[in-house]
Amino acid sequence: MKQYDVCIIGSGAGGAPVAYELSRAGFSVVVLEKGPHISEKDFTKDEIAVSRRSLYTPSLKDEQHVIETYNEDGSIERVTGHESGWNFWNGSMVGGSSNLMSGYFHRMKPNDFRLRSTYGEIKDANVVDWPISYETMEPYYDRVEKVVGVSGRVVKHSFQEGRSSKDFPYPPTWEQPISHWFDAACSKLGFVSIPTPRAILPYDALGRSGCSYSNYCGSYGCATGAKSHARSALLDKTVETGNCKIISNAFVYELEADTLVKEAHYYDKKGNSHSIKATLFVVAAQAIESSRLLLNSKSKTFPKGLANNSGQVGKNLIFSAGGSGQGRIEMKDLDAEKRSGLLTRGAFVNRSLQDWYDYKRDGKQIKGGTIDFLYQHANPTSRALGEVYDDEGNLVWGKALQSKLQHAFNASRVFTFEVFNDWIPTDRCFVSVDESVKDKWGVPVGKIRLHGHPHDLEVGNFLASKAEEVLREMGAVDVYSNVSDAPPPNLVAGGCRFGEDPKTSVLRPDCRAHEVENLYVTDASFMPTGGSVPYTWTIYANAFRVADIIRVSLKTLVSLRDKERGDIVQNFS
Amino acid sequence: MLKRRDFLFQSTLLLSVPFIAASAREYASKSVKIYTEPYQTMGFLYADLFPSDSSFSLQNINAIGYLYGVMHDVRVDLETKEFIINGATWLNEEAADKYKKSYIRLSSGERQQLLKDISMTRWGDSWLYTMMGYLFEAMLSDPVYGGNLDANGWRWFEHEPGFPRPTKVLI
Repeated sequence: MKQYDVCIIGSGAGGAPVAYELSRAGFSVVVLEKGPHISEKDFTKDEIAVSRRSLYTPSLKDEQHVIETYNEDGSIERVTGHESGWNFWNGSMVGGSSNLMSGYFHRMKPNDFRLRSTYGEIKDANVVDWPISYETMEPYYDRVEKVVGVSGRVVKHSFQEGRSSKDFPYPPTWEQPISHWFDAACSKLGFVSIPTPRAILPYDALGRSGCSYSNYCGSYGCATGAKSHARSALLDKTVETGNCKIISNAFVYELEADTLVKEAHYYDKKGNSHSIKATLFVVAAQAIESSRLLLNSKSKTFPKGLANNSGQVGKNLIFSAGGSGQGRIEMKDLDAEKRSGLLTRGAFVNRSLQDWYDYKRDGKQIKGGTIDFLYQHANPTSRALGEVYDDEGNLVWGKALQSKLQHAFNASRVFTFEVFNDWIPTDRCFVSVDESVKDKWGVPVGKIRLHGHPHDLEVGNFLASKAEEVLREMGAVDVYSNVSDAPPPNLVAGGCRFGEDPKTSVLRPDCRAHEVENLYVTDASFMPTGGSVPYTWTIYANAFRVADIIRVSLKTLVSLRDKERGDIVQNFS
Repeated sequence: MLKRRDFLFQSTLLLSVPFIAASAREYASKSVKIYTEPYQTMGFLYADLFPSDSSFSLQNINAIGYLYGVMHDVRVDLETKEFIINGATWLNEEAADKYKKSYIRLSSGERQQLLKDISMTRWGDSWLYTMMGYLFEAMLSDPVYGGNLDANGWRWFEHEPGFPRPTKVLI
């Protein structure tokens, strides 16, 4: 069996930068990806396959999670994914769910790295400072802008984080006329409108084609390669080095270890088991699945699961708190020029607000968050289904429904927003495995215990009220928002938090397991708190940071190994 | 009766389904026998939910042929297919209870009243919502799936699809 230098489990934003950097440095790398290899030519804007039938995620009958929630009396409600339809998968394919992201890229702010020391303790929560600072991460955010590709425009505002490059390497993508109406409304309200950085190339660059403005971006694979997802931005180039092999349809079910990880065992598409040997292992299977893999990898040395003698694996699972809202812009309220502007298809809104990234309440400094603005998704079936209830919550049909649909599609446009704030980590939100429920391979599934801290709702509601103000100032009607503690499955982190103390964290500050010398975790699992922004940019940046660290330690390990082998050969001859 | 159905719906103790999911290269059928159940009831239901006039016609989106495709779609779970069939059965049971006739034998006014009645129940609200979802799919999905003939649905709503469009059925 071939011995690789590095075996990476998962090919998304957490795994791909490590593969990219180490294969370019000359190390032999193998990437095991659970999903198939799908490329630009396979991606179409097929609402039925992608959105209505979830083509890119496993069938819940074959692979599911068990989900537990708290009742008001503190008892636990338990459902399976299959019976409830609750889906925590985000896209299984080479490049992971980054293929399907909208690419709203915000850096975390310096205060996000020291949440506890800046804002103090929160009752019943496990808020901690990160063991590294923004300054440590900054060069890697910068590297992502340049290597992976981020477009945008820097503007001055109170929470603009420090940057080593003056501006983004690519200008913003083509923007909607409504973006300028948004700017005007914000200016009137005294808010600072920020052009949202996007992981989308506005024109051909980095060996990829620019955006075709297809009007269907989030949830869909990119047919041009403009979206800066892990496959087109990194893995395709990684394979070109000749040092990296990507094995698709490879579901890793166990990491075999004594004191070190020796082999990764995986099932192929047909259910046959295979093994990979490597000097060093990197887990990046997305937060819930990474914890599940470690917990399912039991051995004499690690009877509670790999790297889990501390009992910390799976703990402090977090999501992005917040919610969403919308308002309707009516054609009849607009002049001819604006009406035509409202019908513009394909261009991006690209606007955010961070005026309340932190704010004062009752004299106390509170951590706030980010609001991103966008048009309602173009998916027509979903839009139509959004019209089938009247204001009283009764179903409508017949002529009444037809006229509602005509109004929704032809006489108005829905402008929406998404709120991102911290999901405070607690003892009540975590991942474990459920031995009684197995997936199609017979492997125990991940069990997700959910709990949103009341503090998250308070902050989310405050931010949503600010977003609603902007929509009303823009002339939108039927403005409303919905902030809840329902977790967005695509914004998940934690479970293997990093830190200095092996009693309260799974990983060291360099994302190497405290308990296992040759095991790293580089997806969002490492995050002890998530910041008030979508995670992908930080996942990419951290994976580049860890790749730099691994490169140095691997050089030593490989030269020691080669010396050892040389000595053996010498002694033998 | 309604309480019993809500219980059945909630418990998912549903009746058996006459279809077996199979791979569907041609998603929709162009020649579903609409005088066979459940398609006969569904045809009337769809006409009541979305009446044809000079600008709309359900035939122009092959709504029932598309529904036939849904019933054979391996990505639609068995419980949903069972629910679709059972809903049609329950609708007819309701029609028989109230008017001593099957749904398709009712007058237009009676059918509308019956829909109002069942929409107030948990199972009825959920079933009508499910049926509308597949009706909208037939109307607004890419014509490659066999509904939305000649992009008629898109034209009704001046909807512009995303590109590249699918050239084959992927499910």
